[in-house]
Amino acid sequence: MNTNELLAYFREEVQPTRSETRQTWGIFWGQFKIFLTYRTWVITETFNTIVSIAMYYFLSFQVQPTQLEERGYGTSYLAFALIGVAFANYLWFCINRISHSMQDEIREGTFETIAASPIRMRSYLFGQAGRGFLIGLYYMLGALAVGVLGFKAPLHFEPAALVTSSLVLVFMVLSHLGLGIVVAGVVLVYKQGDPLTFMLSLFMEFFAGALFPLQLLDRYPALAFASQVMPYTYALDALRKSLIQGATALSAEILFDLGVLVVYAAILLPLGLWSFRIGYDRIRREGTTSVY
Amino acid sequence: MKDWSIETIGITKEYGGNGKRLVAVDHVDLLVRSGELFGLLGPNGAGKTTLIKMLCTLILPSEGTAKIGGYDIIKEPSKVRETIGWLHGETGGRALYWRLSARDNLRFYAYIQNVPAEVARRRIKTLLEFFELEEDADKLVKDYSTGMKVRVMLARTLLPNPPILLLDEPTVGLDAQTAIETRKLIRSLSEELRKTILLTSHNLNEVEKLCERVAIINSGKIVALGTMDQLVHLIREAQCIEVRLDGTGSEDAARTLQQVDVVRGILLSERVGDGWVIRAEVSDIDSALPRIAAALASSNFRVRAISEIRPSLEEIFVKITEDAANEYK
Repeated sequence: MNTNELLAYFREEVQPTRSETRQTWGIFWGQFKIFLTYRTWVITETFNTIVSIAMYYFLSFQVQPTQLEERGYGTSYLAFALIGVAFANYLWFCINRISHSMQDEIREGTFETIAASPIRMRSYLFGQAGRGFLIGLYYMLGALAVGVLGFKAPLHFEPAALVTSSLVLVFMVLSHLGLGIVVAGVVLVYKQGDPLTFMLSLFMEFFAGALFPLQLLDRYPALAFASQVMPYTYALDALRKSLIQGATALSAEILFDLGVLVVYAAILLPLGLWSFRIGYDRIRREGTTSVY
Repeated sequence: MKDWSIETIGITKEYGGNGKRLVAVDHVDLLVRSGELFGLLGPNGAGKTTLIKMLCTLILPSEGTAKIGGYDIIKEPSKVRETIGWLHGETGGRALYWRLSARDNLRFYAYIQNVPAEVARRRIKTLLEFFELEEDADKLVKDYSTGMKVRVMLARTLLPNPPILLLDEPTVGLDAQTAIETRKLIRSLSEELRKTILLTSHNLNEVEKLCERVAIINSGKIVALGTMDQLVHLIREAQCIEVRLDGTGSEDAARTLQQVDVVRGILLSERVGDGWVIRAEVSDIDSALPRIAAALASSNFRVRAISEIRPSLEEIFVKITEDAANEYK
């Protein structure tokens, strides 16, 4: 093809699409395709999931079920811990993915290309998050499948429980997305975010009672209060009640949990985008968009 | 589109704190006409990349501003990003997604550059064909050579068809044939599609051949700006002669030339084939030619030819940046 033939394609007047949904989809699509090229990673993570569930299975023989019953979570520690860990890992993965991808993009030089394009930063962030949520879903569902099919964890999978837990999952993700975006903003400025996400995941697992019933914190008022302000506490409570006890979204206790998650989403999401904007403007002032 | 596609107004970038202050770009005023092919030259660390990144909205100026296609880079960054295509050739393909194919890299870019799907499909096919990438279009970019990666980057820059192109080292890493084709394309984009192009290159010959006007930046300041002819006149010393000599003993001729009072300096002295070529700056071209001929003849050098030459951009560039460096000292 010669130059004139090429130029002919660029003479036509084209109206740009300017659709944020399409931009978000583009980021999601590209990032997901990149993920699919890391086959070894997928295999090792699957192996890790199976081993960790097996660990909780053997631990379950040592735990008394009375405290679980008091909270309305049935009598199986395995089911209790399985939900706690599977969803905590899912959430941690989603939050971590945004900042991790951003670190990769800065290191590989693609972030500057994105930043110099007309894409809205929130489309970029939501696209990155979307990929994390989809990949995380694979591991979360995998963990639940290993727990239920491999180790006979007693969970409810009736349609009403599945609809309820899916609804809780969506609001759990929305209420924590802001935190993931805050961490991404920190990565932009300080070029490191792993310690922060690790700390967040530890806090989430501990204070929301991923592995132990929250009554154990009652004798420490400060810790009990911290568990009450964690959005994950409410997500986990709703998920356990629906998947262990079969409670539906119409029950008062699940509606309360959902309401709290909606409030957190309404506060944390704009806060996350705002803090990311501050970080982004700072690196533009410092001229460090390509520094890693 | 305004008369000026790129207009910088006292644009300045200052880095540092705690007593360390570095002015990377220092009150630069530049005007690039719509449809102009403009060259920006400077030694490493002169401020070229910082200036271009400010025009791309990647770096915020400390002072001053710039307008790209009439849009202010500080107040209207989104509009600016829709107007420009930026190629950072020096990265050698680092700014691509190496774990995507060339086709998928272009598809991805079409999404974020708001190119409609159908238009993107046609343009991607055409660009892959033009840059001779169609055979390997579905292989992962990580398996490409540097030249292929740069070609993908060029295709990506052209894909949204922006009116203003900021091409930072567009031919670095390309083989000779592709580099020639790329230069031809750059010229056509300017001449036939009236795209405004700001070009930086280490290949001064490329800039000289392509650009209508050239600015030379050094230590963050524009130290020279104009057409090639204007740049030649900017330096009085730029009157040059070229002497061609026979024989191998001619390396001593440079020393003989330095004794002639109208000779200001030797620009080049090298063997070419079985002879010798010397280029020198002279203060007065009219009297220089006979006096140099006489000096060489009296020292028994066999002169093939003496002629007045126009200094190359490389020679002008070296001269101007050296002068600017001496001035700062």
